[in-house]
Amino acid sequence: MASKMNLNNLLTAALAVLALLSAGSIVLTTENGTQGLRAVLSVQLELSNLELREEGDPEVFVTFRLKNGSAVNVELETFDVYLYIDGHYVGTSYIPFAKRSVDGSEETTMDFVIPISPARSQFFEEARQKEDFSWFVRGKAKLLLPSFKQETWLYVREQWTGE
Amino acid sequence: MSERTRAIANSVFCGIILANLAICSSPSFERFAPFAMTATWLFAGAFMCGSILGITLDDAKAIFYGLCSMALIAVLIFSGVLIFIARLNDIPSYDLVSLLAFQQSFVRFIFIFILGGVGASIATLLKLFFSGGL
Repeated sequence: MASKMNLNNLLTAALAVLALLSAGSIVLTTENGTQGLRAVLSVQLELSNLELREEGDPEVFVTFRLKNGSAVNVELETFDVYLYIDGHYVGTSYIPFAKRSVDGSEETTMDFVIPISPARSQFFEEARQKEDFSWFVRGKAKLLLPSFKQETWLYVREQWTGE
Repeated sequence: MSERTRAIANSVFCGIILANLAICSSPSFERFAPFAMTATWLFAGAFMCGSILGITLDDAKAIFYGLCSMALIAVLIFSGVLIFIARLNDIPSYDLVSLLAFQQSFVRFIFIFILGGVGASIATLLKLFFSGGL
């Protein structure tokens, strides 16, 4: 009976030590997860260039810069770009980046060619008659976070004045 | 230490150990856990913890409640950590994460309970066999 009690106490003590180590591991995992996700959410997307080219049909070249300020790699799945001139929608572009990876602490640029939609060219022509007109670019990127293996969306809305 | 105190203490300790195994073997925490493990570790852990409950407790009802408490504590800690990280970082679709946590937790609860039960049953049978009660 006494030996059984000793065995029980010994097992409980062993469990207590394992539970203590496990609790430490849980705290460490939570801390790592929190820091990792905060870093990943610091990924920034910005419009770095917009250029109109009128050789043949008018096209707009748009360049975005994606800065990955985190220490982990992120994957860019898709990117949609919508272009507006003086508030009127004139064209769109879509690039499915098949698992394009951006390493930690690196940046990458993405170029888009947006043809002015023929159905919307009247807004383009009207705006060109004015001295001052503005472009408005709206971008939507689907980003895969490494942690939860789930998608998150990055949105960019930027104004660009003149040509 | 009384039987009741030992039963509660063992269930809580086993729950914490299994929560850690569930976290370390979850794909969601793969990159963050100090020791990335496979699901086999969780199954083996559940079996081991169930066996310990079977060895240390004599009453079948106490073993059943112990298994329930152990599995419940494990999944509560597991889903709590998952939801905590998601909400703290203001992930837009945290409701999805909550749902995911619920599904993952439910599956883990079932696995832990069943494997723990198998371990406890084997331990009880062996205990009875060696004590001459079988």
